[in-house]
Amino acid sequence: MILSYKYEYSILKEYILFVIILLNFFIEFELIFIGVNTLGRYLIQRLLAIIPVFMIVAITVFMLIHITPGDPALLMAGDEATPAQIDALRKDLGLDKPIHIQLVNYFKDISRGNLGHSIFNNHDVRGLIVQRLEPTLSIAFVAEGLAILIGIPLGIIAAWKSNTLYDRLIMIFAVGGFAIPSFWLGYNLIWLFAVKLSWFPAIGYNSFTDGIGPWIQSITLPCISIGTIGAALIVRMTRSSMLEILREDYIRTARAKGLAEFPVLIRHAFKNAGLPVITVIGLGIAGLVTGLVVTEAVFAIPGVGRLMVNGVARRDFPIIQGVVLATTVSYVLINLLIDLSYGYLDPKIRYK
Amino acid sequence: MTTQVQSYSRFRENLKTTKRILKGNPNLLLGVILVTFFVIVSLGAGILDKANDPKCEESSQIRKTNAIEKHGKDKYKEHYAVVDCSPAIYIKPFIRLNPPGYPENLKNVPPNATEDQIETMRAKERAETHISHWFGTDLMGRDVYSRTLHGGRLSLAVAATVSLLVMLTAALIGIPTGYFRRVDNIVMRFMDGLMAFPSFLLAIALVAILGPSFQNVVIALWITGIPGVVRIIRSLVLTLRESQYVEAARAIGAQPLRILFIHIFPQTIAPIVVAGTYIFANSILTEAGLSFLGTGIPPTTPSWGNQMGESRIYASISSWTIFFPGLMVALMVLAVNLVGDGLRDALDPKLRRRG
Repeated sequence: MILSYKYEYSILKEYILFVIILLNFFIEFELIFIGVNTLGRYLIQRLLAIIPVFMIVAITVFMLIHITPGDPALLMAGDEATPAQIDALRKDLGLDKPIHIQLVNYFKDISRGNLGHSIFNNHDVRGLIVQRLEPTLSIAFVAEGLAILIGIPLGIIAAWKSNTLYDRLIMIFAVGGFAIPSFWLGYNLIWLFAVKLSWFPAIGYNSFTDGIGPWIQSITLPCISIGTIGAALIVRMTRSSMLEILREDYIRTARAKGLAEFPVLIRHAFKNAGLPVITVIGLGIAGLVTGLVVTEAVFAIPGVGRLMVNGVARRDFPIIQGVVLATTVSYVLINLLIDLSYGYLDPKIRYK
Repeated sequence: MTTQVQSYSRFRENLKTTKRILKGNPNLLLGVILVTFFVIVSLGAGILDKANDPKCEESSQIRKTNAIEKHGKDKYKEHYAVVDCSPAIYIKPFIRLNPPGYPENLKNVPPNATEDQIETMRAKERAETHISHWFGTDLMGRDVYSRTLHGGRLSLAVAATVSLLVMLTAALIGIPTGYFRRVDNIVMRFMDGLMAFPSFLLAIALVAILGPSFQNVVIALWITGIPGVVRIIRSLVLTLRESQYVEAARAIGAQPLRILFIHIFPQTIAPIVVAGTYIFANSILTEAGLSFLGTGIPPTTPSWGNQMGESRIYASISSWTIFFPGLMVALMVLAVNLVGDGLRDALDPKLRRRG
């Protein structure tokens, strides 16, 4: 026991040393940039910036279980548990060890992709998440696609026809879409399209392996109710960045040389105005996550959000931690990808 | 005397500026009017709800006497239901779920009655009771209108507390962070880590673990709200500390604390207030989402979110129990966002965006 304790402690020291070295690299990153071009420098900078973020995310998720008022094992076991059961649970989760060793164990586990197992039914948390990934991802992709397909054209029209009735109407949609809770929109859609008109099923999800038709029918309403917020965000961003570009001299030149309005808007203006929009799409994914958690509860869709909500209702802490960690890591990675593509798409970053 | 005149003239000056700003920005005016309306209605919820409606008492009395006349003193209780107008208390012994305008579910309807007969009975009942539930009643027979008024109180209280706390703490963290280079790297790494979480997910996890209560909802929204505002303030202070007047202050030997409080802090007030309004709007939305999922304000006190959350199970047969509280959330958030956009344009022309 003592031996293993010492062993764990030395691992902890190694971890701390590792972190310090990484942070040092991060702070004085000029050192590793000798002989690297600007794009490479940008890539390395972005990749290094991820490491402390991941560490803090992991530590925060680890600490979630320890900020409970009182003993977490007691809280998880419920009111009817016997002391022996509580002890078993404590041992099972490793809560009987000192906190720094728990942290090291947690880091070890998550670096192997082990997210623990549910207290409620002993299932592997990673397995549970993977199982429920399909509905969540299909809704997320379709909703984001819908938001982009609606948001960008509306934003371009609003900037093109700025200060007209079209602009006003589109901006009312953008400001309103931002204020509406997605679950409320979901219920109103159910009421109108499922209860009154019965065009779509009110609740439930059909996997696309059962056929494309039922799949599309089952995800239409959730996608609209989630996509509206994203669309509103994209409309606002597209409009404001297009307005700035449309005032540039080269747009006037393009118009003066007799180009039609459509190529001016798309090829000259939007090609430059699109870059900030890409960033906003990345940031909008946080809104997408919110929408997914809530909307899956509305439409009774067996996705990751529902797993989270069920875990919250049963106080199943490993599930809560696992879902939060997995979602956050994928959110950070998506934003990293977007940042990297940004470095690739923007010549100013490429050739600085 | 002179000070009075001075303060009066300053007051008039301020009034003039306010009028000019509101005139130039109809959206801001609309937002201010809506927010004022909501604040007044929420503060006056105790007066405006149906619990204090004399008609409510009266109709209860009339119904009671009618029931006694009809069924006799011993049996009247089976045929008479109290019109419950109180927002929070659950008294109902039976299930009633009525759309707006309908007074009560009908009792003693013959099983073979046609729609028309039921409709006439309803009309009679309505005339008898004098009272109509403007927003309908929920599953427990509670008046949705009264509950919505009271729910607004709670939602506004959460949002106001959270935005004040976030503004204060973000200023306390952000200003020194931007000014002192050494603190900057550590604090901002930490803030980046917190920013990496999708805020709603972190808020659910926090409330789930701390336990659902007003206080814990506020704590969760507070923690998730801080990093964004800190980042805004810090980037502002980073530019301010290089500005000439701060350099001048440093040159004549001003202490860092003096520079922070007297020279830098006043410059950050406008952006902090603007960020505070967005936090306010976001808190209303997030609180509604949390309470909707059952992890927010416990159902004993009505809030817009838990009103909708309680109606989840029977939402397909009663749209009104969700429609009205949700409409209030949407209008309130819209109003606060309009105020935020307007303030951003009015307070700081540099931040002005056409979006």
